Amino acid sequence: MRTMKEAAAECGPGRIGSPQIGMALLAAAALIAASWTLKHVELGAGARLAVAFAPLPAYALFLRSMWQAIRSTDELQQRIQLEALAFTFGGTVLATIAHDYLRKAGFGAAAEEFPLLAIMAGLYIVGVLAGRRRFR
Amino acid sequence: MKNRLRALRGGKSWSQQELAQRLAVSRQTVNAIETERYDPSLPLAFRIAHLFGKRVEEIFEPDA
Repeated sequence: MRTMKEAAAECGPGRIGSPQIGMALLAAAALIAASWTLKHVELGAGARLAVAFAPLPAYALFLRSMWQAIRSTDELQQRIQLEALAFTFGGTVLATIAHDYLRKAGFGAAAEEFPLLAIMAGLYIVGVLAGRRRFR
Repeated sequence: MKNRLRALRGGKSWSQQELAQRLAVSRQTVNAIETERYDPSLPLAFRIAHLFGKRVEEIFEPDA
């Protein structure tokens, strides 16, 4: 069984770092590549389905990496992550509701594109930075 | 919660990084506890007390 010192040594200063950012970039690249392919390449129904699901393994790897990183950090970092995720969840719910009401109010064209992932990523980064600043 | 962690660490001439390594936490956590921005969990408070050979209540005390 790993000791706490060994776990801390593995996670360095106790933060989510470059491996997770790398995984996120890989997942984003897979998503962009799949979107581009679906939009610009003529494919059969089966191939389109395969391309649509192609980014999922990259996202699964990213999630696994985040999960492991958060579990290996110390209690303060876990608290910062929890608060950041709560902020992200609440903010995303608010943005989704606002988007829905924009559409109901007749601003369909303006509300057509809803960058959900970008909003979530932005809120998460803001939440983590605010937490780090608070406990600096 | 008030604490005497900074004084105790100074008594051992340890840096925050050194104490963090001994407690298996990040330096940021040690700093946040010392500046009383963060109250440690009970297990961490006991680890701190054990490291300095004191009881938890000799290091931590509630705000008035």
